[in-house]
Amino acid sequence: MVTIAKEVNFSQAEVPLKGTVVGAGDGHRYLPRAYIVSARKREAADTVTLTLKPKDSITDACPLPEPGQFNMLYVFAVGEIPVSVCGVESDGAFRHTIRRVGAVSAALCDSKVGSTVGVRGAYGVGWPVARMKQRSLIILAGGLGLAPLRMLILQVVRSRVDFADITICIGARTPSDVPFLREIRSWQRLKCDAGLFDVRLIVDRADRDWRGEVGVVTALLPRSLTAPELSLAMICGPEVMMRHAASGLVRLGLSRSDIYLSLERNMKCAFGQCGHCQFNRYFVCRDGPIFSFEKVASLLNVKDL
Amino acid sequence: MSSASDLVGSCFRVSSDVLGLLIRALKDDGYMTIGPRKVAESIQLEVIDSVDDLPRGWGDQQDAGSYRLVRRSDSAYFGYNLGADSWKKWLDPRRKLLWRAKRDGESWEAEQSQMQVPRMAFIGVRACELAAIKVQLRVREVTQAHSSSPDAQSSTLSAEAPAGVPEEPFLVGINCSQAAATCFCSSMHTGPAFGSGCDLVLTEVINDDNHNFLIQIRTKRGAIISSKLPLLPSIEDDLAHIDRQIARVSDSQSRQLNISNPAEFFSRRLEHSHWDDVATRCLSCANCTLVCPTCFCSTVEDTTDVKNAVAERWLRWDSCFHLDFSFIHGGSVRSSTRSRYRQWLTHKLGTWHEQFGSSGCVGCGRCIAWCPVGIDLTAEVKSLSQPTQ
Ligand SMILES: Cc1cc2nc3c(=O)[nH]c(=O)nc-3n(C[C@H](O)[C@H](O)[C@H](O)COP(=O)(O)OP(=O)(O)OC[C@H]3O[C@@H](n4cnc5c(N)ncnc54)[C@H](O)[C@@H]3O)c2cc1C
Ligand code: SF4
Ligand code: SF4
Ligand code: FES
Repeated sequence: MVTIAKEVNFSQAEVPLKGTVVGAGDGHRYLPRAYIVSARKREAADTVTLTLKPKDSITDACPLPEPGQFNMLYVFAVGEIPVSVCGVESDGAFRHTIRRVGAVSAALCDSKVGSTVGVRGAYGVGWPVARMKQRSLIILAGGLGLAPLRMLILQVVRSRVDFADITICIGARTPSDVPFLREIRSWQRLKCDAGLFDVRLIVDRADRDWRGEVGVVTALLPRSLTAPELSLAMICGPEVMMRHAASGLVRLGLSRSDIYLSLERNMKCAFGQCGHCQFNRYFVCRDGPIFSFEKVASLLNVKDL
Repeated sequence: MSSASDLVGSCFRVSSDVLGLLIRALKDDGYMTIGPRKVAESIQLEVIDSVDDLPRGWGDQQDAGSYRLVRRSDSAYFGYNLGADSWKKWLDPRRKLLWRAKRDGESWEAEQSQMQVPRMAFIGVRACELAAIKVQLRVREVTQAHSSSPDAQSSTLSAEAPAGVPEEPFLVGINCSQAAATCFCSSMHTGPAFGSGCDLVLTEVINDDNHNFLIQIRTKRGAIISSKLPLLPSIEDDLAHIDRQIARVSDSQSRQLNISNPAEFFSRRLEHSHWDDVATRCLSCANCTLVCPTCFCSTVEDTTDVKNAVAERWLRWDSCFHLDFSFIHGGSVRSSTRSRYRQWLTHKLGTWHEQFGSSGCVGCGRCIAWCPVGIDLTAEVKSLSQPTQ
C-alpha cells in the first residue's frame, strides 16, 4: 500500500465551527409579551403615563427593571420603541411615561385602558444604585429626562437615611410641561433631619401663574460643594444639557467617574445585535443607556459620532 | 480503510470528476448543496444540483470599482475569486420573519416564527470567507452572552429558543489559485492559507492533460463523506504543491492593510480632515456594507394585512450608510456622509476589536470592487495615516 501524505502540524482537535452559525432562532428575542393598559394618565399636553399589567400570569411577565433600565413597547401593527421604566407597582405592573413625537409614541399615548401593548425587556444598564449609599446625590433632569430618574428618586425618598445631602434639579420648557408635578410638590414638602433634601424646579418660559424660577436647568446646580469627592451625580435630558451639566459638575470638583448620564440613540433590538445604537465602541442599548461621564466625555465632543 | 476517522488529517488526490460525486454524496446525506453559479454577469452563491452548475472555465477581473467575468484558458471549476455574494446570505438571510401576531378585538398574541433551517453544505468556501464566517459566529456569541439576562430569567415557553439548533454547515473549502487585484487577506492574516473550520479543503490542480483535485480531510464529518469517494493516495509533493500555491497567491497581493493598534489608530483620528475628502467621493449607497461578509446590522419591519388582523415583524439587513439608521426625534445622529463613512470604517477596522476581539475586516476586497466610485479602504487608511491637513 502506498503511504498517504499526512499534513504536518495537523491537530486532531480541529473541529468544524461550533456554535450558532446560522441566525435562525432570533424570533424569541424579539417576541413581545402581551400587557394590558390598566391605567392611563395625562401628564402634560403631549405626555401620557401608562400603567401596564401582564395580561396572563405574572410568570409570563418581563423581569422587574432596575431604575434607569428601559423596555421595548410595541403597538399592534404600528411599531416598537424604547421607553424608560419610570415605575414598578407592587403588583408587578410597569409605568411608562411617553411623549407624543411620532407614529409609535402617538399610538402609545392614544392607547385605551384595556387594550394590549407588547413589552419586552428589561434592557440596559441602569443607574449606579450600588455606588450611591452614604453619598451626596445630585440628580438633574431636563424635561422627560425625569422619567428614567423617577424610580431612582422614589427609592431615595424611601430610604432617605442611606444618603447624605440630596439635591434634585428639574427643568421643563413651560409649567404645563412639567411631568409628575404633584409628585414633585410632595417631594418638595418632605422634611428631613438627616441632611439637605432640596428639590428645585425651573422652567424655560413662565406663564402668568408661575411663581418659581425661570431659566435653564443647569442654573439650578449648586454654586459650590463642600465634599465633591463624596458626591455622585445622575443626569438625564437633552445631550447638550447633559454635556454642560457634566462639565459644570467637573468644575465643582466631581470626578468624571462619579457623574452618570443617560444617552439616547436609535434602537431596534435593544440587545446589542442590530447595530443601530452604536456610539463608537459602545452599544448604547447594552453598555448603556446610562454611562459614566468618564467613559463618554471625549466621545460626546465629537460631532455626529 | 479501518474507520472513517482515520482519514482525518490526510490528503488525497482525486480526478476532477470526483467533484460531482462529492456533491452527490452530500446531497444523498441530506445536505442542501450551495455553491458558485454564473448568474447573469457575476458569480453568485446559489443552490446547486450538480457539478454542471459550477462556473467552469470562468474567471473574474476585479479592481477598485470594477468586476468583470472573463473566460479562462483552462476549464477550472474554481478559477474565479469572489463575487458580490458572501455566505452570510445563507447564514443570516436578507429578510426573515421573527413573529406573527393575531388580533382578537382589543387584544392580540404574538407567536414566534419557526424557521426551518435546512442542513447546508457550502461548496467553494475561500479562506477569507471561512474567516468571515468565524467573525459572524463571534458576533453572535458576544451578543447572545450579553443579552441572556432577560431571556434567561423568563419562564415562558414561548420565549425560548426553538429546539434543535441547526447543524453547522458542512464546509468545503477551496484554496485560491490566484488572488484578485482587490484581495488583501494576506495582510489581514485570514488567508490565503485556511484556518481551522472547514470539513474538507480542496486544491484544484490543472496540468497539461490532467485535471485533479487534492482533498484534505479535516473533520470526522468530512472523512465520512470522503470515504464514499474513490480516493487516490497523494504524494508528499502534493502537500508541498499546496504550500507553494499558497505562498505564490500571498506574494502576489499588492494591497495591504497594516495598522498596529487599530482601536487607538481610529480613536485618534475621529476628527481627521481625510474624512471630508472621502465624503466628497462616497455616494452613501451602502454597497460596501451589503457585500461585506461580516457587516451584521439589521432593522425590523412591522407589517400588517389589509384587515389589520395579522401583524408580522420581519428582520432585514440594514446599513449604517442609510440616513435614517441613526434617526432619533429631531434628526439623524449621523446626518453627513462624512460621519457615516467614518462610522463604517471606524467600526469595521477599529472598534470591532474592542467589541468582538478581532478586526471586522477579513481582506476579501469586495467593498473595493463593488464601490461604484472605487473607494478603496486600504488607500483611505493610508491617507488617514498622514497628518491631518
Ligand atoms: C433608552 C431610551 C429610553 C427612552 N425613554 C423614553 C421615555 O421614557 N419616554 C419617551 O417619551 N421617550 C423615550 N425615549 C424616546 C422614544 O424612544 C422616541 O421618542 C421614539 O422612538 C419615537 O418613535 P416614534 O415612532 O413615535 O417617532 P418617529 O419620529 O416616527 O420615529 C421613527 C423611528 O425613529 C426612531 N426614533 C425616533 N426618535 C427616537 C428617539 N428619541 N430615540 C430612539 N429612537 C428614536 C424609532 O426607531 C422610531 O421607530 C427613549 C429612547 C431611548 C433610546
Ligand atoms: S471591509 Fe471590505 S475587504 Fe474587509 S471584509 Fe468587508 S468587504 Fe471585505
Ligand atoms: S464607500 Fe463606496 S460602496 Fe460604500 S457607501 Fe460609499 S460609495 Fe457606496
Ligand atoms: S439597539 Fe440594536 S444594537 Fe443596540
